[in-house]
Amino acid sequence: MRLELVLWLVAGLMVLIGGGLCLAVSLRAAGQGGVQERERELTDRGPAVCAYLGLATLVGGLAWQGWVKRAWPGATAGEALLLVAGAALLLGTWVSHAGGAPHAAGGPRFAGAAGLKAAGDTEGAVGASGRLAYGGGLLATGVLILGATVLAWIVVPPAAPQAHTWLFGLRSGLASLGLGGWLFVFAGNLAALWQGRVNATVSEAAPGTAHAVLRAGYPWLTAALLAGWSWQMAAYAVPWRGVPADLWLVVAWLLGGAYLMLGSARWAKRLGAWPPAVLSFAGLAAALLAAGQAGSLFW
Amino acid sequence: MSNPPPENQKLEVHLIAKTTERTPRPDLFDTLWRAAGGTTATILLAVTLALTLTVAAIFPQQPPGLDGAAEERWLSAAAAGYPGLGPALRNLGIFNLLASPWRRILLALIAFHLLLRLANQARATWLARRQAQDPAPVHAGLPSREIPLPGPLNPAMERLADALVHRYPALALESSPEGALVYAERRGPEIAGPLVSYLGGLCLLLGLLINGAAGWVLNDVTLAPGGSARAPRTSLDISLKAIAGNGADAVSSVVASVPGGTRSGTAGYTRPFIWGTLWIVQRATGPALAVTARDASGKAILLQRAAGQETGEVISLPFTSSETEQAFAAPQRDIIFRVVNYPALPDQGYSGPVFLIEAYGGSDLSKPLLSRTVENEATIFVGDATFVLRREQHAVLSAASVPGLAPLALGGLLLLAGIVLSLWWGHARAWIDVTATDGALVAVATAASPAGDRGVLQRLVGLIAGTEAADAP
Repeated sequence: MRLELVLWLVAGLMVLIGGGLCLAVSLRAAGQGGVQERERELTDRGPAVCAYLGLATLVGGLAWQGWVKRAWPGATAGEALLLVAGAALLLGTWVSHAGGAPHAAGGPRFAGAAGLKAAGDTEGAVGASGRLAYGGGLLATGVLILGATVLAWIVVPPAAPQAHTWLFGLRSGLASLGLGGWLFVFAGNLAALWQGRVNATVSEAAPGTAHAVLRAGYPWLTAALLAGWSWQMAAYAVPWRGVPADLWLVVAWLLGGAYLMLGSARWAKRLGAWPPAVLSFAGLAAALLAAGQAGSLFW
Repeated sequence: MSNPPPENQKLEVHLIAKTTERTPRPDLFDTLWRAAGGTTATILLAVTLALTLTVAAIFPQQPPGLDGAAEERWLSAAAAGYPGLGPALRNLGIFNLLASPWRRILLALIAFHLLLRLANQARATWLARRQAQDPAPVHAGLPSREIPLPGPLNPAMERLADALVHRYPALALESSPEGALVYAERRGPEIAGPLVSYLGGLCLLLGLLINGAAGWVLNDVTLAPGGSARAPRTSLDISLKAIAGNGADAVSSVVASVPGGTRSGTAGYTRPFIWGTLWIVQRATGPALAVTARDASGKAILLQRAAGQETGEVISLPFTSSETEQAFAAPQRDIIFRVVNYPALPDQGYSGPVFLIEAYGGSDLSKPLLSRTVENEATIFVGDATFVLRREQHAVLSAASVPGLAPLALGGLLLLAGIVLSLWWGHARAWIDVTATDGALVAVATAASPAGDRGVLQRLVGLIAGTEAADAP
């Protein structure tokens, strides 16, 4: 078996364990109405450690494969999906540590997914909601890593000459950073819908986490569009060819913009948690299709 | 004691009084302006464009540059891929959505909307430099903390305003006998973020408009060395002089000619040949077979490519992944050649690429006069004619005129700068809810910032605690 496949398999299992741990504590806390401080410390660190170890293993596999093929990763569906999963781990865990956007003054302490503690939230229920979103996001990422590994195992097309340039590597990296956030945005909204049945106030925290993740990833997605246009100018003489990978990337970008603006639309607040949840599902679908159709970039 | 505000920093505290006055009814123009330039319109347009592009991503789209019979062939083939639905999809223009009037209308609406937003935002940005906007609602999930304040209420609020105004120049305060609500904002370059992004979006649309009106694309021009092609509807001739290198390192030497001049250069993979607004790229390379022929006296024999009816003393046959078989003829000698390109013929001892050449007499195509394989170079004799065959490479080139590239690049950079400013810069908002109960004041401070909510809250608590310390004896 190829080394990179083994590494990705290990990464997927590690992330699944982290996500399962996080979800188990969240669900137990929901059942018991709270969670012990010591237990919280342990289970907050555990998933994050799993996520970062999984990320390192995943990146190791991608680097090894790139070295062997002498091409930047992201030219095939499997590689592009793995890049998205890696970026999701990085963004989701980073934002969850910091409780805000990147470069937030959060320090190394992991204070619960999003580390949120709203006014009057003496039981830390908002933190539990954020943890639920984080755990769900990790589980989804783990499944994505395993699925992409199977895809990379089955389909090994030769790298197109256009994938040998650093501009393509830049486009792939930026796109995955922009698209990866959608996994945690969707998980946050699912958590909100689930918890909204129990506690309407707490349910607002998970979209808050989702919003922060998307806010952190959206500029990267915009930069990916620019890098993609530059690469296409160099490789195909036109900035925009309308191939599926291009189209899904723009769809994910447009839906991201709509999602971010939804927070300031009064009518959307009256409709509750459903409009952002629907948008986040559409955004996630577009993100996965943008990565899954990476092969169309070389048509 | 807190320091007085600097002279150049005018304190603006807006007392928001609850009023019973009826708000004047907005006129129709105002209503339309607000509707067309509002957030809801932005969301609707973004989602509509996303849906349009989704349909375009699901169904195959007609490549640019096709016209006449080629367009008809492509559309028929695309419709045939959807039995039963094909003709309806074709009539609806689904296979040409990216060049349809619907897309143009949508982009025009977006341009109009961006213009309105730009006008609104320019005004709002100017006003918002120092003035707090309507207090945004506090949403659950933001970090907050309780801090006791020494009473009574009014002097405490004055001290609080003094302490906050240095860090949060835009301040709004609403007070009642039971307590007070302070909403404070700190704004920096990020207030220009939306303005810059709308401007970027408009520049992008301008670039697209210019490209659509004055640009053109010529795709998949297959040329062997010495070959040339003319871009339709333009006076541009592209010639391929030679190809150097192999695989990913292959580089084509090309010559571009227009009535005003000629320019030569090289085009490799992702290394385009650029001449003004003209871009030429090499999209693929592959094998080709160059053929020359002479009679017994050494005189050149005219050759003809069957496929393109191209004639000459030297012809070159390009082989692509979909076109592995070619034919050519020597009409004066009544000889027809069939050439097949094989990546390998292991059963005949060839592990690498090889050509199979068969020559037929013009009147009998059932049995070849000659059959042989050619790896790199060979000379074959048919009657008194000598044919020299040599392996070479062909290149698949694309050319495009992109006159709107400058506004596109500027628009993209502005869009990115605007989004980075809006989402990542240090815009900070703070809410302080002060309640007076049994003579004691308690402030609940909440903070939000794209740069991190908790860090901003920590500094805010420090500021509020400072007012307490200043009050202490």
